[in-house]
Amino acid sequence: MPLSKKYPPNTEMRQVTDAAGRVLRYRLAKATQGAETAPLLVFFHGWNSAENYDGSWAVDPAWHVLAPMDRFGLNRQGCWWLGEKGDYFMFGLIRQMVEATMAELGGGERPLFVSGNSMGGFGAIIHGTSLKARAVYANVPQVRLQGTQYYEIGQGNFDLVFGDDRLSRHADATNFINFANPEDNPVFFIGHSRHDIYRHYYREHFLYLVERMTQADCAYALTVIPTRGHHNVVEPAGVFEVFNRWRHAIDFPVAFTGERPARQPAPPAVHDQNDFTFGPEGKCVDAGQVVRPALAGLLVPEARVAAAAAGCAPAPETLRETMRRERGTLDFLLDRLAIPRLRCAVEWDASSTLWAPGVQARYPQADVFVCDPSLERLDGVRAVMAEDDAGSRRIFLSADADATCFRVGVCDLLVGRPAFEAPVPVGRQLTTVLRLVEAGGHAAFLVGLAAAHLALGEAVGRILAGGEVDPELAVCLQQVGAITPARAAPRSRLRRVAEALGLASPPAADASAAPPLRVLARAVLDRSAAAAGMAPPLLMPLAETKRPLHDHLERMLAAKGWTADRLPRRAWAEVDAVHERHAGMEALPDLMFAGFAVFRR
Amino acid sequence: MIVVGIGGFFHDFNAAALCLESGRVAAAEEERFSRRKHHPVMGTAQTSVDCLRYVLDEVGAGFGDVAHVAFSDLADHPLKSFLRGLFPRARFHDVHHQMCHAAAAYYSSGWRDGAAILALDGFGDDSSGVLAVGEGHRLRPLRYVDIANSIGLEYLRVTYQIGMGAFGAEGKTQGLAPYGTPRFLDDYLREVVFRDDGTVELSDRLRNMKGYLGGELYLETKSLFNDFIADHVARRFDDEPLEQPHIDMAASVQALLDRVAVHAAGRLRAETGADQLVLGGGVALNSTMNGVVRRQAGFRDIRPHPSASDRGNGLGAALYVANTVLDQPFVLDQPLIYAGRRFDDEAVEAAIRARSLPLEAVEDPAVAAAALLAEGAIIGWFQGRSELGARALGSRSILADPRRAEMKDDLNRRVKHREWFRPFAPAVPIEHASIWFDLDGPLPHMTETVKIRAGKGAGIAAACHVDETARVQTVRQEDNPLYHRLLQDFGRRTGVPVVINTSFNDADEPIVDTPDDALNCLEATDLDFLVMGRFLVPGRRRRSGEEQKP
Repeated sequence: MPLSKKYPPNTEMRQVTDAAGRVLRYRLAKATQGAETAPLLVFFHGWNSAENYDGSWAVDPAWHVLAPMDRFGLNRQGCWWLGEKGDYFMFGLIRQMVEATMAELGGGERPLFVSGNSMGGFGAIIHGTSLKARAVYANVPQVRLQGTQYYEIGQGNFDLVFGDDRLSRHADATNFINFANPEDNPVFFIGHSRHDIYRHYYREHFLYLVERMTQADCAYALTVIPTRGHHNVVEPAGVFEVFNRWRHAIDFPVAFTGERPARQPAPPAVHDQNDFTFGPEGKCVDAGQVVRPALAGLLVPEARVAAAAAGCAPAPETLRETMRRERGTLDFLLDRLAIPRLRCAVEWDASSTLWAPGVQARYPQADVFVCDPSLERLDGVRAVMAEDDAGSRRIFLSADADATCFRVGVCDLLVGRPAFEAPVPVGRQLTTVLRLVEAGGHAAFLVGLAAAHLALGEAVGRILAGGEVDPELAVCLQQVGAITPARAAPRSRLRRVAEALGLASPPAADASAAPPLRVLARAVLDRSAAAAGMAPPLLMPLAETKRPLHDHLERMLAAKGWTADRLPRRAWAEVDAVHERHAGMEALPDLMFAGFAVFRR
Repeated sequence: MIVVGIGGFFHDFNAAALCLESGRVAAAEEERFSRRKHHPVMGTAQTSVDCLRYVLDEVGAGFGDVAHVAFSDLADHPLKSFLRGLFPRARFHDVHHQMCHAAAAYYSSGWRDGAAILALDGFGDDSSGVLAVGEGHRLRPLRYVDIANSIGLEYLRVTYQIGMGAFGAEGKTQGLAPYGTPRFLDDYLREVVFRDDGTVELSDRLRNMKGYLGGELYLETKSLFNDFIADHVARRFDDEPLEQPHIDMAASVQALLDRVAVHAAGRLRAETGADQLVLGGGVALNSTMNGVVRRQAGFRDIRPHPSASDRGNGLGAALYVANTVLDQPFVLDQPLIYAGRRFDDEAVEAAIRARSLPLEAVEDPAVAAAALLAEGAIIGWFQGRSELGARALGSRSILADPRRAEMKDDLNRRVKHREWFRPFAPAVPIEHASIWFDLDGPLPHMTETVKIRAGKGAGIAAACHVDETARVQTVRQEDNPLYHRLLQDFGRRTGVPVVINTSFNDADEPIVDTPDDALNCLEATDLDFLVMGRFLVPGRRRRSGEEQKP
């Protein structure tokens, strides 16, 4: 919410004019480091922000940056980077601008990137695909400008843009994705808040975009933050860092030399009776790497956020509603993306947020990382994260200002296409990081299920890779795999799992009763571990994890050459407090810790 | 008993503290500490609170000593939770946003026997102003102005449409207005109903925010659009030519504002029978409007509050709670002005030496500055306590010689980096004020625009606006002796006891507060000299020898 526009320094105002005399003004900030080969990034600003009131663009010395200004549309507030009255002249102007800039900058092939937020996110998608950019970062983008509630809110704007071109193909950003030749598409990075201020926005735009990108076999990364609002997930200045961080995934360094490796065509998928997808040979070949794209649901009960902010307990009804909604999210991600299983590494409390830089390194085979902190005030921890960020540039979590970590959870996941060739570059494939910030029962339950499920899947994967199939385990797998919250009442599913595992019969008084989840989980994990030739996974009460956790933190600090006192005393105290607060919890910590233990091995 | 007021929950976060027993009072704005202009906090759950620490220090209290905390609006914000956590023993009060404006204006006016109160605002607490009356140390609201009929927002919408900027840029529109003709005023008047109760009702064409897509943020530029404006003038961006329709639209909305304010004030006078009026709310920063109200509304005297915007709402909230809630009379003799930080010569010298800048100790900074000004120099003037509010009033000021018309362009080009049409305000010793300006009494806070006396405009060409007006500051010896001496000495040297006084800052920066801030501004701009405490520091150009010391 800037109060005055701020243009980055060293920018030059330019313009291009088309044959009809329409003028597109833009600002160019040239790279001051490595200008010869520096990539070009185009920022598309949001609605009514041609003057950069939304701070929608930034500069970086290693990048050439273009910031066009959309001064068309209703009262010149922006035309979604399309045009007016069904004349989509912005495509010509944008191309003209990019070509003129490329020519001025000279040199050989120069990689092109685009970014934008909201309306600019729409612009980034349509122009990024049209211009064959290497990657697109779109924050809370609109995706469909007709037929959605967003259209109804801004009808006056859209009527001017489309004129008589009703049901325009230009109204759907995904129509610009190349379905015929997926490799021609940029890598998409999409940032979103879980609860936008516009109703149905998440479903009508974000989930729809995810589905379409999946259908088109695009490589994409999703970042969902569990907050309410329509704002940047990654600030403009952070976009450079995102692209840099995932450079291996978008062939970024190669692009500097003008070479880009050919992408391997995706082999046909084979579905077995368990509805798992395996490689062409019918085996899950991972060689210690990832084998499937994955996803994660983000489970943050909004009611608890509000209740915490208000200093009172959440209303049960509201929590239930939240549960239903979030189960829907998880279900969508599981079902619509056709992701049969997840590999999950579980971290179990606040301090795990400190581990983010090392999480992927320590669990390269995991698809999902789940953290379960129930944090309240963590100023000290946040500070450490900031330091870590500066040091390693790999922390994904950006705490919001209130330091109430109920609201701080960040899900940062990169989902790639299925690929079964080995070796495959990490990052081109999937690397999914989910941080779940909430210790609420329902979220814990769902994630606990996922953890058990995925831990089991991991074990089975190992067996399959080795050519061994344990029939009994396959049954278990099928049963456990069926446990998705929206498909059936969890208790009945659990009961079936219990039966499949040959556990003791439930009390006769309640035929549908199932053993406690933790008992099931332990059984599943024991069984799967045994089948994989592993020792039973280590399970311990949460309270007993305190020392190992401290040890881990100290090792992490030591790896950076820091001493323990680098972590503020308050942070240590908070870590201890988290343990104390959860010492009474049963099912979830056991399950989560179980998942962690499996991967630890 | 310590009462703290906290305001600016949208922008201009600020605080005030009152000690009811000792009568001590302090107020401060966070932007002076954070160096973020307007220090917006809307939607945030935490902020720096240096202004709070400062005001508590000033009254000799700590957070634990505070008995009452007054917030300057009714709505609940995440930030309030954070702030409540700072005061372990306080009782908390939410005060209506507009009543904070009214309280700040009334209790700072020095009038203890009552006055009519008009607060006009953009919006706050679902309203855009209040008509109220002060009765002794009590305030009584008569009626609130509906938020949909916000004249402040309409002024902001025009400001935005003609490319002046968004929130905080309304002063540009005011400065531009005298260059135009209010040819859209009649059209405007057809869209406005002037009610008998002193408020106005805007038509749907004025209210309509066609294309409205945003809305969750107070300062969303997206809301700054209506059919009426779009039908009259095309949207302009600031790098595009300023054309006559834009200028005429500025003149028209200024004329409309003047009418609305005079109407409200006139009805208020009739209703209350009061012969003195205080003005508050962000709109009361419009010195042109204030001048018109003084001349046309029929009051014997008016007193616009110098911190009329949300900058003064922490103080307003505290004063409201002390007087009206706690029933403890706490009325200021005059507005708080020189309430900010002071730095002694030792601190000033250390700051200069830390940068290895040349410095010269002078016997009398006022005389040294006057001499430099008389020779055409533009100087930064840093003395004593910094000012509270949006105006620099002789503690953190940039001063220049008004006699040459070109000085206005020089100042804009070299130092202030702002638009050609924006006027610079003059400061004059009270003894000479009526010789140069058409005024009856002191105007110490730059709150009103007045006519320059016939024949005098050419003598202060750089401070004379196109309509022969000026937002003058009169200076009394007892209020600011050093500054007063400077003006007098300049007058003795030149025959013109008037100096341009503009705020000591660069574009988009808060007014400087510390010696370091002043030195930063000196280095970032083309000031000739900085006179800070008793030290004289040459600016970049002077140091490089491009121009010799006069």
